[in-house]
Amino acid sequence: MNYRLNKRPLGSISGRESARFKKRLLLTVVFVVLLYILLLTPVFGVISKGVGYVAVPAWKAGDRARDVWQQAQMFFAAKNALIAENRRLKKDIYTTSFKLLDRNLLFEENLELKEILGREAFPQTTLAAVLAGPGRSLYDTLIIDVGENMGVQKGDRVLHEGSVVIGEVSEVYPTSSKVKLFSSPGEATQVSLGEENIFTVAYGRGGGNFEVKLPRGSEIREGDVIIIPGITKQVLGVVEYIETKASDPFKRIIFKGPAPVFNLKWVEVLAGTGMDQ
Amino acid sequence: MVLRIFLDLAIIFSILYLNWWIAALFAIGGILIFRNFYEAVALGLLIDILYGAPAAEFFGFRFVSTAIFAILFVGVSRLRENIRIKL
Repeated sequence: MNYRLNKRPLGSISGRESARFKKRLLLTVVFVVLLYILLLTPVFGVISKGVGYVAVPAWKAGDRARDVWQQAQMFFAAKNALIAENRRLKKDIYTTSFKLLDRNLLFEENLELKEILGREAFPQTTLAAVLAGPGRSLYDTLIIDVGENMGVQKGDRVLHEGSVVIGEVSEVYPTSSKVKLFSSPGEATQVSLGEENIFTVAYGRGGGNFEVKLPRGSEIREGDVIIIPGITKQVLGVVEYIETKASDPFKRIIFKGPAPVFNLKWVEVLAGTGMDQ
Repeated sequence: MVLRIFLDLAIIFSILYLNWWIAALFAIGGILIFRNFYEAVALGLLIDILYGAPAAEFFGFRFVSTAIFAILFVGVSRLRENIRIKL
């Protein structure tokens, strides 16, 4: 019977294995050095700014291309469908304008009263176009087209339609900014909810959703508005679902912000609410 | 080589304009087709640079996509060693 002779001494490694080990060691060292540079030096900020310079025009071009495509689609859309949609929209505008009359009067009165009392209700807002939304990454962030050029500062609150607060500016670049939504997973936000103004913390669950835990006896109903407390109350969301379990002394409140975070086109940046103030 | 460059461009395009999982699918394809498709990790880093913010759920860590793409790279590379792909 023949047996294969193992000429290599026990514990030694072949030249090929040694080369592979050296390659892996080199890769690990490169990875650790890169990690150090990215996490502990200002290099990351410089890279972010550089990438922003290239990406912002690309996003703007993409938006323009999408607009052209939508216009082309409209051109070929059926005439009758357009007429029907036009009629429906006119009807919607008619009914909404009456609903808004009362709201606008109250809002103006509210602002006048605050001015008389020496409290400026609304600092200056800057309108911004949304270049990229949450669907493009795992993060709940928006990229907007205003930055240092328009005086945006880190921490500035970001609103939708004037009264719905959606997040705050987390990074500012020369011509763009990154907005971290309050609904980012695990993000904690101080809120007040219900008719009793219960102060608590809402935790983001991603995609515009939030969660709050309150004692079972709390007076909360579906449809209650959740606001961020302040001189001007900003709406964060509306209670959609309340989960109560017999074994749990707390009830779980799930709510969603009214702003469609995946389809936002415009937002307003509230100047003067940032960290530098 | 041309296919590799084309795939890199497709991933960059999907990072800029499409959903993140489309970029992840392209990256998995790249790792399966090409040896040492390190671009996958670099493109994960690009996602973090463009859209990333310190995530409270990950204890403030802001390189979640890079970590996911690195894990994908190692896992799919291992898989690649055990299968044969013909183009």
